[in-house]
Parts: sequence; C-alpha cells; structure tokens
Amino acid sequence: MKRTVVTAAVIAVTAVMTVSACSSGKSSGGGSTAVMSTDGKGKTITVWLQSDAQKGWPAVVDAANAEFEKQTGAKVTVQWQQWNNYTTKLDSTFAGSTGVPDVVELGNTQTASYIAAGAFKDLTSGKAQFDNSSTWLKGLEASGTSPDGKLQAVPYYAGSRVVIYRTDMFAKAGITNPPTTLDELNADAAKLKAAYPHDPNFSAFYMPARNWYAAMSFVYGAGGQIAMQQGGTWQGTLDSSQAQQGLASWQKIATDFSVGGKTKDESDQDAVMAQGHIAMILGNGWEVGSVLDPKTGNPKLKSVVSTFPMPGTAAGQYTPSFLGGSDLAVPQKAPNSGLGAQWIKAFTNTAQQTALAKFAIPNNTALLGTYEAAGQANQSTGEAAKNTWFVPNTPNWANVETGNVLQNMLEDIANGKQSVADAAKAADTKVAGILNAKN
Amino acid sequence: MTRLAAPPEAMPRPKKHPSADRPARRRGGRRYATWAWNALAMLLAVVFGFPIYWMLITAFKTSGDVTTITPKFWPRHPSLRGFAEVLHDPIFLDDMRNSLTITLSAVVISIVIGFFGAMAIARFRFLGRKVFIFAVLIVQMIPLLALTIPMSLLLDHAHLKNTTTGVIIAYLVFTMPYTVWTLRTFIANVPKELDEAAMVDGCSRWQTFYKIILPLVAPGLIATGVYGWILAWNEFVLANTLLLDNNKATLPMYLLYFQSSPVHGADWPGLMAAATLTSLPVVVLFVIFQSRISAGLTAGAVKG
Amino acid sequence: MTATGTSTGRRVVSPRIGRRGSGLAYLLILPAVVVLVGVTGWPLYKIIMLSLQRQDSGKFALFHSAGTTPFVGLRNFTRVLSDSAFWTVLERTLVFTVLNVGLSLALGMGVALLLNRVSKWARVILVAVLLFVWAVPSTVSTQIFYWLFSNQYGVVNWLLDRVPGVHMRGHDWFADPHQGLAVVTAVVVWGAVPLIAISLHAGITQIPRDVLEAARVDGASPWQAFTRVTLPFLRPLLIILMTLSVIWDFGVFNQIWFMRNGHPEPGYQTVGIYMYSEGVGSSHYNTGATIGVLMMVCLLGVMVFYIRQLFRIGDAE
Repeated sequence: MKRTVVTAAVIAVTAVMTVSACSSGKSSGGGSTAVMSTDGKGKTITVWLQSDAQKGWPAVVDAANAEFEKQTGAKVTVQWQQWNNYTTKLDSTFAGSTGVPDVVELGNTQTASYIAAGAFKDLTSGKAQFDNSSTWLKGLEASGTSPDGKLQAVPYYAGSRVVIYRTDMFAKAGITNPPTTLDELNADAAKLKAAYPHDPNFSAFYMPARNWYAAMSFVYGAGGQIAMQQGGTWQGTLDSSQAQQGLASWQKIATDFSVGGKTKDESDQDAVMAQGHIAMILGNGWEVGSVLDPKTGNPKLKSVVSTFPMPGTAAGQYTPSFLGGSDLAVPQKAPNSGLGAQWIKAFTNTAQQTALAKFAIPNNTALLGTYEAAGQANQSTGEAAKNTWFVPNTPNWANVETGNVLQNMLEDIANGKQSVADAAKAADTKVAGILNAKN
Repeated sequence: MTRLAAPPEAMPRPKKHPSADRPARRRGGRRYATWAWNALAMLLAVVFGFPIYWMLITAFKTSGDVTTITPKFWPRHPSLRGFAEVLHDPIFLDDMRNSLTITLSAVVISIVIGFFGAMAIARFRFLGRKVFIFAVLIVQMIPLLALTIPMSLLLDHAHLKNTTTGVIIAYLVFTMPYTVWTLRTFIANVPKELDEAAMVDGCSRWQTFYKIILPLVAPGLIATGVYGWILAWNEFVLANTLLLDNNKATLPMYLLYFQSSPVHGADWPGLMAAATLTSLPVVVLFVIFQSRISAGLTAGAVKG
Repeated sequence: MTATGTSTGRRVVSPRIGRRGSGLAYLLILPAVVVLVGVTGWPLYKIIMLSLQRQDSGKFALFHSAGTTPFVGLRNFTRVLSDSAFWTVLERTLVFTVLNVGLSLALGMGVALLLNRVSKWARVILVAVLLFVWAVPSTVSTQIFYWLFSNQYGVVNWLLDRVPGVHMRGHDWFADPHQGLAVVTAVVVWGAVPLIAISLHAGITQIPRDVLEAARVDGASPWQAFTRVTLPFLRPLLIILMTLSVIWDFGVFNQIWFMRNGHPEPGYQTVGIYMYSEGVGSSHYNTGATIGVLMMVCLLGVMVFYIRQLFRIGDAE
C-alpha cells in the first residue's frame, strides 16, 4: 500500500543525489595555446550583445560578423540582451554549463566583479593583436584588467557626458556664448531662470538628484574622489574638503536651477527635456538623439538643441566626465573561446570602431578625431572624453551601485534631509564597509 | 470541452444555483436602490478603469504627448505607429507563440496533476496527507527571486535549460500548488454520496472521477486555469534567466525592448501598445469563459 | 451551510473510503509529489545549503562545488538578524502586508457585494474592467501609476490642484517614503481586487436563497445578515484569498522596484527588495538565501493560524 510513496521517495532522493553529484562543475578546456583561433569550419559561436547595438549600430555588428565568418569559416549567432536582470542571467549561465556564450558584453562598472570571480579567459598574450590596443581609453582598459595586470575584457565603446542645451532659450536670456567656467554656468543659469519667470516647471539646469554620475563629476572636478585605497584598505573620501566643495556646487544647481527631479534619476531626462521646459541637462552625447527622436522625444527641437563640454572651475578646464561604457569578454566556459576572442578582434578593429564612432565614443584615442568630426555633439563629448573619471576599480564596487549608496546620499542632500557634510560622512562609512567586505 | 459543457443542473442540490437568487432581491420596490448601486458600480469602473484607459491612450499618443504638464486625456494626434510596429514585428508574433506554448502547457499540466492531488486529499485519508498539504503550502512561500538561480542550475543539470520544456516545468512551481488547494475545495463540495451511488451502480473509481466529479468541478478547473494563466503569462525573471536564445523569448521579455537603455530613451507608446496586445489574449480568454468563471471561480470553496 | 445536512453521513462514510482507497490516493498524489520534490526539492535544498555556507572564494564558487565552501552553521543568520536594518525592513514589510491585505480584502468584498446588487449591464461592465486590470502585467501597471502620480506631469496632482484650496502642483509623492508606499499600495490593491472581488462575487451568488430569506424573516438587519450568513459562508474562500494575499504582499517586489526605477531608497525597502539588494542583486547568494529562508520562516509564523484553517478546508468536519 505504501509502496508507491516509498518509490516516489526513492526516486526523489536519487534525483537529489544525482544532481548534487553533478553540481561539481567540470573545469573547462585544457591548456590553451593561443588566445585566438581562426579554425572555425562548421562551428557556430554565440555572442551576447546588449540591444544598444541592435538599436544604434546594427550595421557595425553585421560587418564584424561578415569579416569574422570570412576569416574563420564559422557562423555567428548574436543573442540580444537587455540590461534588466542581466547579472542574474550571467551568473546562472556561468555557474552552469548549458548555453555559455563565446563572447559577452558587460557594463564597465560590472566587469571587475566578474574578473575577480574568474569568469573570463585571460587575453593578455593576444593583446597586441587587437587593433589600437596601445591607445585604448585608459579608463575602459583599466576596467577590463585584473588587479595583477591581466587583460580579461576588451574595451568596446564609451560615452561621456556633456551639457545638452537649448540655443533658443539661451538667446532669449541674452546669452551668446556657452559658459566656459562653472561660475559663468551658474550666472547663465540665473539669467535663464529670470528669463522664464512665469513657468513654474522651468529648469535652467535640470539635475535629477539621483544622477550620481553627474554629481560625482563635480566631486572629481573639485579635486575630490569617491574612495581611495590605503595599505590595502578602502576609505570613503567624500567628506574631504574638496569632495564636499564639489558636492556643494552640485547641490546649488540641483536645488536652485532644477525643478521636479529631486527623487528621480537621469533615465527619463531626455523625454522631460523634449517637453520644452528645460534649458540644460547633463547627458551622454547620444542623448541628443533621444531628445530629438520622434519615438522618444520631440523632433521639432532639432534646430535648437546643441551641446558644450561641462566647464570646470577655470577657463579651459572641463569638469571631468564619468567614462561609462562597455567591455567584451570571453567566458571561462565558452565552448569556442579562441573563436570568441577572434570575433572580439573583428568587432573592435579600426574599420568597425570607425563606423561605431558615428554613434558612440570609440574604444581608443587614435580614433577620437574621426569621432569628433562626425558631428557637433561629438566635439563636446570627444573633448569630455579626454578628461574622465572612473569608479574605484575593485570587485566590490558593483555592490555600492546595487546598494544605491551614492544615490541615496544625493537624494538626502537635494531634499535637505541631511547637510552635505553629514550625508558625505554617512556615505563614506557605507562605501568603506562594502568595498572592504571580504566576500 | 464537451465535459465542460455539462449542465450545472446535474448537481444534485438545485437550490445552490446562483442565478435563481437574483429576482428575489428585486422584490419590494428596490429599483431606486438598484439605480444608486449601478451608479456606484460605474464610478468604481471609472476609477479602476482609468489606469487601463491611460495605458490605451498612451499607446495611441505621440511621444511628446505621453508626459505633459497639462495631462492630455485624449491623444491630440492619434497615431497607430506603436500598434503597427508591434504587429508587424515578426519577433512579437514569435514571442507570442512561445508565451502561448509555455503558458498553455504549464496550465494544462498543473490542472491535470493538481486535480489528481486535490482528489486525493479531498477524498482520502492517508498517512502523509497533512505533510502533502503542508508541502504544497510551503512551495508557495519560496521567494521566486531566491529560487531563480538554483532552479536554473537544476534545469542545467537535467539538460533542460534554454528549453521551453524547462520553463514549463519551472512554472509548475507556482501554478500547481494553487491548483491543488483550490480544486480540493471544489471537489470537497461535491457530495460523497454521489461517488457512493455511482460505485453502487457499478462504476469503477476511475469512472467515478471521470463521469461524476470532473464535470461537476469543471468551472473550478477553468477558474484555476485562468489564475495560473495570468501568473505564467506575465512571469519575467524565470523566463529571462532560463531562456538564452532570442527566438525562445516570451512576451514579458519582449516588453523590455521598449524600455530605456543607456544609449536610447524609452519608447512609451510602443511599450504600451505591446502591453495592450499582451494583455488582450488574457482578456479575450476571460470573456470567453466569463460566465463559467463567475459561476465557478470558487463554487467549491464556499462550502460551509 | 449546505454541508450540515450531509455531514453526519460523511462521518460514517469517510473512514471506510479511506481504508479502501489509500493506495489509490498515493497514486493520485504521485505526479504532484514528483513535481514538488523533483522541481522544487533540490532548489529548496540548495537555498537552505547556501544559507549555511560561506561565500569566500568568488561569486561562483558556491555553485561549482560544495567542497570548497565551508559550512558556517547559523553565522549567516546571526549576521542578518543582528543587522538593525533587517528588523526595520521586516517591521515595514509587516505593516505594509497588513494594510495591503486588509485593503484588498475589504475593497474586494465591497466590490463583490456590489456586483451582487447591480443590474446585469452594470455588472458586465464592471467585471470587464476588473478582468482587464487583472490581465495587465504589474511592471506595466506600476509604470502607469508612476506617471499618474508624477510630480510635474501627473494626472493626480493636476486633478487635486483643481480642487479649490488644494495646492498640489509639483507635489512629489516619492520624497516621503510613506506617501510613496501609499502609491505602491494603490497599485498593489488595484491589481489584487479583481481576483478577490470576482471570486467572492462567485461565492456570494452561491449562498442558498432560503438561508438569506430565513435571516430576513428573523428580522436580521443587512449588516447582521452579512456577518451571520454571508461571512461564515465565505470563510473558506476568504482564508484561501487571505493566505495568497499575505504571501504576495509580504514578498512584494515588482511594484516597489519599478516605482523607484530599480533604485529603491532605504525607506522603500521591504524584505523582497532587501533580499534582492543584499543578496541576489549583489551576487551574495548566501546572504540572499539566508534572507529567503527567513522570509519563509516569517510567513509560516504569521500564518500558523491560517495553516490550521487551511488543513480544515474541504475536510469533513
């Protein structure tokens, strides 16, 4: 009578045991000789790229695939990804064995934690074979390099932030030239505010409080930084006098000249700007496209939207821009790792990067000229790309982002819940706690 | 389907049947009150329906009209761009087919399995019965987010990761327990005397299930099916983690394409058009089964 | 109610059936048991193991081999439980759950009673609206509510501002987490009412007419008829709906996550969000698993009473 239930239990236990036994994963591929391989006849490699490329520069991807297929005889399947839930997808795939791609794209602030986990192949010995590898953007290259100097991810593209502004509003406020110092920027913002006294929704400079990329630029511009390592231990440095000064000048813009963004981040600022009540935003160069895109913004503003690099404390200086971007890596468990590296080479070569330069900042300084020549906005972003800052390059950094430490600090400052000094001190403690965590 | 069509009057307790009640309430000059209740119902319909209305008109708006200082309660320049783009997108139709396969399979399997399980606990006393009920309850409590990666590893070992079958199996985790619970109360509501009588008449146990109980709980099967359908149809995290190939993606994954990414702003009219078209099959399903649902969503559960 | 007449008969019948058919019973639950054990058994086991292990050699070490990740007993639990943030989050979650479950059930019951009172055309319209509400994915409905409550562009502020004496222009609903969570409550309740209302409506239509008539003849007020006839009749159904609502609202994630655009402030953290940001999202799978286990323990604790009731539903008394 109870036989069935016993059988079921036996099956269940066996299942559990089998599964546990299997769960010790195989270590992948034996001693590899060369990083790259061109022997791909009859093979198909899988590439995970974010849909940014699908929407922005699909032709570049197609060209790289064609070139790669000609070189190796292998086929390429691109699986488009979304940033949402991406790390869970990567973690679960890397932990298992099914469907591990041969190339993955990663945000450059995520890369370090995967490098630390040993998720990627070491590409150091093939570095010279990647085009322009000697002139890769420093910040991007650093994000793909392990603490002991091994190249584990290849720079893909970057973005840098500039001021996107309304020329017509500037003209109405009597401003003829874009500001060249922060003081001038503040003075111009005040003029703009005065020029639109009857619009309660008017922002001379829309600065959503939770845009930490923007706020930290002021910190770095004032000579401060987020955190520094001393004797192997990380310390939060936001309460240094320089950092506080930077936060204070950010606070002035966020509270005096920005309306309606105190609990928001930058994700919808282009759509908000397209509504026509904003004179300036701090955004990536490509956001000009979003402001003007009929699907996401307002194409009628085409003739009145322009850009200039975010000025610094003195004329001729710029406020450093956060160097956001993406890297490409070959997973440790990739079935065709040599071909994967070869594909990265084809995708980041000079021809492809030159084509990419129409849409985003290429991965190297040699092509910055091409990039800047591609459009007005690019001059500003290209200029901005020469003076950039990057987050502390340590595996735990991603958790500072997940924990929203900086965003929460900024929101408290913007809403007057905490003074700059108190908020910075509290954030320092949290940042240090996360960066120094042992797991 | 023919089973489902079995007339509810087959139930041996004629008084139980709902539609008979209503005329009684109308007695005693309550028309005026009914009018007031109707007005209240319409007010509620407006309040509840407003966000839906907003979704619909956003789908027809041009991007510039989505968020405006003075809200636009009607699209100034109604545009079918969003709908046209989604409907002409072969990926949308592919993903719709994937969603249909996964949802339909998960729901049907969980109803079959759940019905058997519910039969057992509603009709039999056996050792381990409470343990079984408890296990069904516990499974509902596991946070899906914590379950995602272990589930992915399990399916990986079973060579079912990145397969539609794997996702169907994973979905049973949340569709089946509810089915067991709910069907159990439906079955318990069918008097046992009926089973007895049938068996005296020479029916086997299986025939009793099949010919007596199944038709009587048909509304319950539909109701639990619809519930499971909505959960599975809208699930995102598991599907996105388990399915690696673009051509296996489901509709909630498709919706993400319209959201903002670092390089592009969000296409809200497109997203709302896609969301409307995603919800529509569920609403159509509801409308088809509506009479049965309200007769049966919980017909069994109300046993006192 | 109807069962009272037959329950004596059942008492006699049940044991006999029980003895005769329990082999069959095991056969019947077999597929369900296979699914429970086969599909959730190992993941659940893995979650519990993770909560007892240390994660010290890279984020994937845990999944590669159990051998290299030492067991640390209950240390993960003491660490989570000794963090005051966890208790704040738990308290907030409990308050949120009570409010949301209460509101959903009360409103759902109200709508269900109303559906029973109105003319057919009104019922069809209201039910159709409820069905559509039910079918919309929570990610989409949260985005819509976010727009409706947006500070500069929101319909809600715009409408409230029309009311004489009320100045809501530019009011930011999300600056104060209490107000922000009130908006979240609106989405959650809005999304939960359809299932509850439609289920309860179906339940109410099945209350035998004679019982209500009898109550009326006895001079019961509508309220007394509701508390003495309708409520007891709907009790088993209410218990199921309440259990489900508690499980959902306690683990609420999407509505808060998307309302805060993926970056919930500390004041918005409920255990679901906390588990994600401390665990899964930052690849601290052991911490995530620990919080997940604690969530299950809390739910069990909260529902001890209901679990007893659940065991009873559908049993012959």
